[in-house]
Amino acid sequence: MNPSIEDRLGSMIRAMEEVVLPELRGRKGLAEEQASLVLGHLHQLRAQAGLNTHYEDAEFRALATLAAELVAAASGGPVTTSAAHELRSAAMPATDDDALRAATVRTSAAIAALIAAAHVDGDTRFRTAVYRQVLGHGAATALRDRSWFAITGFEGPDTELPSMTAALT
Amino acid sequence: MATVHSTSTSAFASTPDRSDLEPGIRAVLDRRALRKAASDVYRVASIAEVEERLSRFLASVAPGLIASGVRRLGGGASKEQFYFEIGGGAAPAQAYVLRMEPIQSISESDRGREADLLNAVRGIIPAPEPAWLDAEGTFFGQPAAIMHFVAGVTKPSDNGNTVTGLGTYLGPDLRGRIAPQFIRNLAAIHALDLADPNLASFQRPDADPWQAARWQVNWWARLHREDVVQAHPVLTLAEEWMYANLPAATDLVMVHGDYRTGNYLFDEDSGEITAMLDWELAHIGDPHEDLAWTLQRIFGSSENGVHLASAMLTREDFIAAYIAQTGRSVDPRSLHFYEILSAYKCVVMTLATGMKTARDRHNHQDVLLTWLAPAGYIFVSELCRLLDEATAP
Repeated sequence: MNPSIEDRLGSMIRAMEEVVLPELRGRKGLAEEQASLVLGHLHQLRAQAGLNTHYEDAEFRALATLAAELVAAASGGPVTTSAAHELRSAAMPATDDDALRAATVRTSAAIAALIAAAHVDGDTRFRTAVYRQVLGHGAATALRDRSWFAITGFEGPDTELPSMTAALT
Repeated sequence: MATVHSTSTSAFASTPDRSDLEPGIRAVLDRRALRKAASDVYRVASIAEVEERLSRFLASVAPGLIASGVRRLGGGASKEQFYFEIGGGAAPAQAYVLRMEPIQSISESDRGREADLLNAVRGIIPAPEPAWLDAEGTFFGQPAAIMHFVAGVTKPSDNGNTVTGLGTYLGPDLRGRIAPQFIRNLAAIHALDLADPNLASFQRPDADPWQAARWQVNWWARLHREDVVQAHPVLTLAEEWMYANLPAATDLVMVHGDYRTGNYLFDEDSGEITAMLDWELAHIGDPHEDLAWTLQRIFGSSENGVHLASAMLTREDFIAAYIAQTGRSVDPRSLHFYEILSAYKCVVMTLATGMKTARDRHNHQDVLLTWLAPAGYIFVSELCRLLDEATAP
């Protein structure tokens, strides 16, 4: 039987907590700080284990939805028209994990290019639509991403975030 | 009494020159681009290597002085830092801190300008005192500065293992002691005489009233372009909004650039601020910029549901204290613009430059940079909220 990812992460966490960090504690140096960060990363990876594909899917789906909305609303001069055409081509679904990541990066870049183009020769109505749609997408996906990384502890005590699984659906 | 004038969108602001940068900052960014392109992986210096470099450096600048007790310091994502001492025996040992630049960091800067500014504030604002400079990295391999050591802490010792400046809790007693000094020091920075010869390396953005804001947007937009790992639609939207809404500034001051809790040392018993730190992003600009940075939510704390800016004062109390201390007026539109710029900068630092630096292995704190990156999503939320309050262009 192969040791599972959970088994290996758990054993690394235990080694850091029970052996490595106690040896370094109190020295107030970079080694203790970085060992603590490694431990934090391991806890984060354990919390996210098994959900990464769902996260990647959710990220691409949200971008593809925004892309479709922006392309449908695009209106303006040649710079805007060309950028909308590029975005339509970029936001194609992928067949495997690596291709999905590449599609996400490509679609993000094409959306950014259309936003910039809208401010060159986009119609006023389209620029207003871009503003609202991008902010709506940004606010929703930032909540998803904050939930995904909530274990970092950067959120204030009064912050309410959806659970990790709820944020991915 | 100085005043800050602000105007709404104008012909200047709507067609800004996106290549206009402070010459000193352009030089820093050009040098950074060359260094990034020419460099492979940044290798963390060993203590033995630092001792050897220190020995060669001191033999050149201060023959006869010997460094001892070299040890690596924690903290900071932008410089490798080492403590050491010189002297001993009959004379008391003097303590120093060596700060060496890695190939790339989340805040690229110029050691020479930093030293100039620290010399200008000496006797006015508590700050580290520069001792020696290796601006070109002749001896240390990378640009480096040696400062006199200053005692103090950046957070109370009972705050646990938090990243400095994030999630700091000061408590009512410390807040009451530190806040007045924090405001006084900010006012003193904003009152520095820009004609001081020590500040000759800082250029004034006075070609037109919008240049102060334009230089800042261009600075950080260039970093965004050069370091983007994955484009974020909100960042592009924010850039376009800022270019269309540059505020005018006629009251130019020295801006610290990273003024917040976490960036000063204090004596935990007395609450006395012993040194304001991290001057490397300083520049001449609009005073609203420092106010907006201090007000960033993530640098604050929350107590009984009340948010405290920089873990000390409510937003309203902080602004009122600044106005009372300086006699300046605070323009809500300018402050709003600089709050958007501040959130934008934080996203660029964490999700673009920080991630690019870690991926390229150009820094000694990759593990910290990848840990900090998700904080960028909190700034994205903040950026969305602030842009939502603004009018669409």
